Amino acid sequence: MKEEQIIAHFGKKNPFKTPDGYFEGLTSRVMSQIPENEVVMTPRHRSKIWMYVAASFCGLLVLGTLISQTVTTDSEMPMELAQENNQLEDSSYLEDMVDYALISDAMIYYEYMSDEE
Amino acid sequence: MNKFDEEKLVSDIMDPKNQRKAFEEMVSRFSPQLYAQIRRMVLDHDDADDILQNTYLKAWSSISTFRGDSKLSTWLYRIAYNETLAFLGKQKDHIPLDDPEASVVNHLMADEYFDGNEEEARFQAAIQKLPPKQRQVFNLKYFEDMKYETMSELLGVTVGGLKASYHLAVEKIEYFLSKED
Repeated sequence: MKEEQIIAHFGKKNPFKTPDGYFEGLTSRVMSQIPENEVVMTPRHRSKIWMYVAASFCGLLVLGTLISQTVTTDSEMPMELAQENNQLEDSSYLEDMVDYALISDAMIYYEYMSDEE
Repeated sequence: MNKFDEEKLVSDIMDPKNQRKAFEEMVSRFSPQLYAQIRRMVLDHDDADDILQNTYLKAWSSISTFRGDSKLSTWLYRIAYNETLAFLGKQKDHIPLDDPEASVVNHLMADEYFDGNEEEARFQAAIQKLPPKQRQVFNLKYFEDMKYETMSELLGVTVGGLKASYHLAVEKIEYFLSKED
């Protein structure tokens, strides 16, 4: 039984009915449920929005202060310590590269020894 | 409704001065079509009525988001479709497990707002066995002869996906019905 057969057998009639006058009553029922104005911005809503704005502003202020402190600490770091820090960062970057490139310790050792020769 | 009328209705809906009156006109104009689509999905009149009213309440509360980019009917239809899916998701827990099909047939035959014979009730029960999204594709194509392009706009599914879904739905219904014979 394909689509044509289903249509031939059952047709396309809508077997669903509604109570008499349903659609006439529906419009007035819907309209009686919706508020008079589209979006009513109550004082409570307004104060909530201002609270969110104030909270976001405070968050940004704290974040900005933290970032500026970190930058200051880095620039005030003694030269040796800063270099060591950079080396550590470079080293972890290299380790990641080695991991991604799937280079084994044996390959590194082989390359190192051939350079030495 | 011709194109000009719909444009006028859309511009009134977006105008706060005429909004309420235009919304009322929209409810009266689109209700029969939306109701039929919802009712085929949920079968019961009271459930369809609840979903339809919720659709309009949601539409009113989010009317400021309607910018007229899509057709008014498409926008409304999407809200109704999401409301229907949400309802069916909640209803899933209450479906009797012993013989859901017999339960649907019995329910329809006892429903004073079902105007069909037992064979038609069996057909509706077979449609009800489809997953909700596929059921909607089947209903829109089979009962409303909706074009796949229009359906694609409504449901956000590609035309190819819809064709495949409809084809599969027909096969499943055929299988469900033949199993009973």
